[in-house]
Amino acid sequence: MIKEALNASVLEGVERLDTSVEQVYASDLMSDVLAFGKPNSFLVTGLATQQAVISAHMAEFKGVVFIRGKRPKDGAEKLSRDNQLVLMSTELDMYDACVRINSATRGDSPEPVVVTAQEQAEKMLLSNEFEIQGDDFAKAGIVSTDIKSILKKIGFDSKLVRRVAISTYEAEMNVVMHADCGKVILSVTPQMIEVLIKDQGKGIPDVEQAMQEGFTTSTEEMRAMGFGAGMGLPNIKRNTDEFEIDSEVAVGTTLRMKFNI
Amino acid sequence: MAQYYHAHKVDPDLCRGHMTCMRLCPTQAIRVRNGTAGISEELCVDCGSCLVGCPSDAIVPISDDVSETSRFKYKVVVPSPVLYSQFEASVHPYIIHLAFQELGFDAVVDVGDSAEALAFALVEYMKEYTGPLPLISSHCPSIIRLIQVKYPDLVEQVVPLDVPREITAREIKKNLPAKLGLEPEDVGVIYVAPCPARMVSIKQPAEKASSWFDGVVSIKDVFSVLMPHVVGIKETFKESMVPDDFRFTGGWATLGSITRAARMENWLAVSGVHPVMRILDDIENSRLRNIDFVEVLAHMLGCISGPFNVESPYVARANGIKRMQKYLTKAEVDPDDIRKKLKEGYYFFENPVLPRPTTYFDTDLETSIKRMKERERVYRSLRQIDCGCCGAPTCMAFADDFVRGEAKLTDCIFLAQQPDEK
Repeated sequence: MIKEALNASVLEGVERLDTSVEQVYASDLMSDVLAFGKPNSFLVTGLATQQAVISAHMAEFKGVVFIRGKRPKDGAEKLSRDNQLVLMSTELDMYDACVRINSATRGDSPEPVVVTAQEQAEKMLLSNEFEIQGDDFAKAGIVSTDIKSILKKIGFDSKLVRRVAISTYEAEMNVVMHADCGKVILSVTPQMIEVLIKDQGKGIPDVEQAMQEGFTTSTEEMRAMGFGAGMGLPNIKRNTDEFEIDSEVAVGTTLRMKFNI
Repeated sequence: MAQYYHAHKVDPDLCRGHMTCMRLCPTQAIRVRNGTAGISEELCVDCGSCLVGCPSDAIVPISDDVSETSRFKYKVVVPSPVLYSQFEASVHPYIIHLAFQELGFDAVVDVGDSAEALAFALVEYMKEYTGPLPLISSHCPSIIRLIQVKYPDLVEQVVPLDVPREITAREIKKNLPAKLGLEPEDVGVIYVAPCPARMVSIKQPAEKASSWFDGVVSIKDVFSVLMPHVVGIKETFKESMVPDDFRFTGGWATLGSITRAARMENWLAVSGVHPVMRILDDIENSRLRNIDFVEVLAHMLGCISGPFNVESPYVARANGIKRMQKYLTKAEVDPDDIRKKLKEGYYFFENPVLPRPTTYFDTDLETSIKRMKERERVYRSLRQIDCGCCGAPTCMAFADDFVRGEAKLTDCIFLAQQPDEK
């Protein structure tokens, strides 16, 4: 349908013309394509280079159309062939191309979907996953250090980052000491940082007791290494804005820590 | 951005685009673009790893010319204690003092007395201190910069006490001109440095308006002119020639010197930028709560492996220990005087050490979060083998560079040649 709407010539991927796409994304800035583009979209761009094709592939797009009769330089065709992308070229400029696609697709969806910047920002969570291995003291602390470095790079206030680091570190140590394995999910929105730590292990029989300062079930060896002084959970509580703990014996423990920005 | 002074730079005529420096840099401050290395002024902490590692000697130190000191009527040299360790232990420290005099210096002053006084002041300071622990030594300027740049929230745990060399220079500048009947500007105090970070800390101090030193030269430069004199003097030297009032006070040159001098109990001494970064991460994560003080130095074994040295650090260490055993005069400290001076603020940095965080993204928080997400996306599409061919040290650094608009995806040889086969 895009081909007909734009009166475009197909440069590559004739056999894939019946592929359906969910959205059309128009931009010359490839970093925006990567940041905001949704998978299964079609890219409209004036950047007729390999870079555009690579970006489209990385953003999991279905194809690219080059505007104002532009044709990509060598290599782009082969690249798109290898990556199962459709490549087209139209004489229209970017605005006209978008308008034509919009009116051509009206039949399918009565209202064009308008996503405001605000909505987009809220959906634009940063979400990273990390694994923790129980009993692996040599690697203990790596996840919290990774999370810290991500937050520092984003540019959060260093005091806030430190609170996140301390809480995550304590939680990570708990997984290493007491559980078989665990998963950490860091999510960031413009309003909040959330760290979710879910482990599989023996769980905590009495959460209230575990929250008391100095209460510990760690072994002599762990304490010899400087861990397990019974300060972990109280310390987390002190450093978080919101803190939930949920534990089931013989299944595992889930911690949800929230930090307001 | 000529904001930050650095004591070394890349000579583009000599640089052949080796990736050595890029891989060695502990703060990932170096990129090789268009066949030439470039050092980020913001991220460089002056450790000098690149300078030592460069196979084409293309990273050159910017050092003062020794002859520039001729404008002073009276010249005092303050050598880093490391300088002595560059000479065999059989060379009496007095010979080195004499050699400096033959070079045209009027006096040689060692930093040992100030070091002892500061060690005592540190113990006194820690008795009163109630803030977060552990405290971090302020001795190594490279580590101070590392903390400012990468661990901005830890600046408040850096001991705010000044370093022996500055205290020494200050004493000289304050007292000597009057004693000699000269104007303060007639007396020049020159430091002999084992590393570029010391040069920077004198040219652009992190914690004061200006250094008490008038100039700074590297051990390497001094060694080559000093050596012939040392050899000459040693030929006819007899121990009886050493005046009775000669004192050799040593100073802090090797890892552990500070903690030993201050006779600490709960201490750690860590050297090398990477090990130090691990310790600083631990401190940030609030591990090490039972440690009171960490001595952190940028170079393995301490300043004796600073990049401006000539001798192997292991040989230098042995030289240093042997010389101390033979010639060390214990520095005298007057506890009451130090306590009094400490109260008056005498030993403190003039200005607090402030954070110097790097802004990765020059955008508001929201956009930065998006950029970070984009970075993850780019990173996932890379081979993640850190080949370095794009000119960035790791695939993650490349992803960083891309989202900041400093690199093109096609700079990656894998993305440019062939899409990944899924």
